[in-house]
Amino acid sequence: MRKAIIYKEWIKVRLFTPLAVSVLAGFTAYALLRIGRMYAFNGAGSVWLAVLDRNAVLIDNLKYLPALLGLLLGLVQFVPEMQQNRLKLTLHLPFLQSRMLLWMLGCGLALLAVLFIAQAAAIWICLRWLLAPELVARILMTALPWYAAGVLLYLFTAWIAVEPTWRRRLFDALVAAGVMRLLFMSDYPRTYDTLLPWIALLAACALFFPIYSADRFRRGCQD
Amino acid sequence: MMRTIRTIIILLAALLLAWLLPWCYNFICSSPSESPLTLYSCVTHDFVTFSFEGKDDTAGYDLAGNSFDEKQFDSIMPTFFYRRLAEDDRLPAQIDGIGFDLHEVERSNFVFRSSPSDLNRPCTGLYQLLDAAPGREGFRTPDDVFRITHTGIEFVKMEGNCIDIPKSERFTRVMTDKGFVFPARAVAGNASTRKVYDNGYLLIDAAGVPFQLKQFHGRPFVRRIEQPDSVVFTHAFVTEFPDKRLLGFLGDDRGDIHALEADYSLHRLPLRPVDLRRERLIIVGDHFYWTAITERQGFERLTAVNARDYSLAAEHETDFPAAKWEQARKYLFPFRLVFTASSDKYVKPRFHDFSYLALGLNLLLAIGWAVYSRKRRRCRAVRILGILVLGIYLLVPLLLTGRE
Repeated sequence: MRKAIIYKEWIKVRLFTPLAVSVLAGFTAYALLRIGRMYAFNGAGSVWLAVLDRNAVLIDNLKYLPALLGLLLGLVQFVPEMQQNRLKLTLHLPFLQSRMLLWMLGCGLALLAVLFIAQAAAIWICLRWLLAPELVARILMTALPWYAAGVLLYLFTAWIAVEPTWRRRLFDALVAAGVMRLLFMSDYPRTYDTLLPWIALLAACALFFPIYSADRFRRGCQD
Repeated sequence: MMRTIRTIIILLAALLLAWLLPWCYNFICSSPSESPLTLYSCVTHDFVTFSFEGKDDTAGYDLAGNSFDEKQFDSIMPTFFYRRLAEDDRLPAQIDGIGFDLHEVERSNFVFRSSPSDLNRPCTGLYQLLDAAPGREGFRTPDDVFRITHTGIEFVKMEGNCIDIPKSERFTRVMTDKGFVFPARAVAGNASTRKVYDNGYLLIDAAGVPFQLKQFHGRPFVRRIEQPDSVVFTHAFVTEFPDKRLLGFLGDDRGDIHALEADYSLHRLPLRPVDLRRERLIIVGDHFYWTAITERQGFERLTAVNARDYSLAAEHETDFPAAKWEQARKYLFPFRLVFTASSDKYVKPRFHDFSYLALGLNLLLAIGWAVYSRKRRRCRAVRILGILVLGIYLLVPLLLTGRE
């Protein structure tokens, strides 16, 4: 059954995956090339001092990309389930409902993790060549909440998409918007360091929110 | 399990409301608050406050409430308005029996600021050390940065991103010879190239001993600063004021502030202990007196220090009452959740302004909920109790999610 779930999820995201890879690769290449151009034209000092003196993150044009990918993946994976109430069929399969949803979410999270880790690794390899480890750590730690926003927005999108009533969808969307506002509140480097454990706790809780929506769907809640 | 998830969702919504509702209230209701500038007058030997309101002809007033017009105020603050006084030929020849001229006043005026948000922020641990004797071309941005590790000082060349081993060894050797205990507890300097001269860096080593580090043509200059017994320094600030009298200020673990003069002598300022990580310290200095302003939320302490011998000249404390809109907030919200603060650069959850005065509104809301949900039995008492504690923060999510 697990293999079947993974295959079903793959069918849904098989077009999204190459698109996401290309967008992510394109934006990452642009951000890194921009740093490379800055290095080539203005010298190493300009890149170092931008981070040291001006608190520049250098890759700030990638800020909203993980959140966008999380949102799109959530839509690609869960909107088809809600069309013509197809989720009903899924939930009628001989597999525990919560486990079924966790497997579906796990597939999406695994895909996001692969994309985000690959992007972070590419950034780390390129920047480590140009900058001191303290500065690379500063940039990547600043980007960590952006990736957390991607994961959380994916889970929130699933939560909202699976929810059967519009009234409750609005409530869920407001909660999601509040959390996103929090994650994009400050541009100062490494400002979220102390909040990261709380964000991890929130992500762990948010993993179960779509299960709650699915339960309401199964119970036939309506506007 | 579903009930647990629902509880978590409602609590998450309540926490978000505890953050956003008071924020909206502040955004709509807050009014500009006046923070007057008060300095010590070397003429009246009392604190005088600048008036920026533009009402009548009052330019300032003293603590007793006596107001001064523009001309009078210029005269009692001669080191502040020295240009205007000099233009009118009203600059006194001496004050407190000490003669001075325009240039002396100009050079000895300074403002030093230490803000908690500058201390409580993530740092890279990389610093730029200028060449203190740059020659005619002036200061230039160095092509390397330094870090202080547990074993020594390392200079990293920006071009090539590699460690300059000979330079690192040269500096480490001199620092070790001077008794520096690695790693550094505090590193303070001013890497700006837009300055007249360079005082280098003030370092506090692992034992709390301050050192000065400078670079002359790539060669190290390290000076150990002799400290009074039993003083352990925790904070350092480099100053590069025009009169070159000071190297900087040092803060110790007891909250005392010390002025470090160019001859490496240390002078404890007669200030009450200052918690530099929580309180803002501003020192406005002139030729005769320094006014130290220690600020925190709703409180200001002014200390006048004699600039010649660092003795206490006067002290005054002011409590600023909360504005009406802030007092009204206590009746509406049982507490506030904020993620940012003016005292640091971190985004983290912090609960502020716990208020029992909001219990009245909470009680009304709880009664309202009890009436509204009288037909439901499940968890009713818990929810009523929750509204009594969390008030509107819990009521709104319960109302929005409860009609199923």
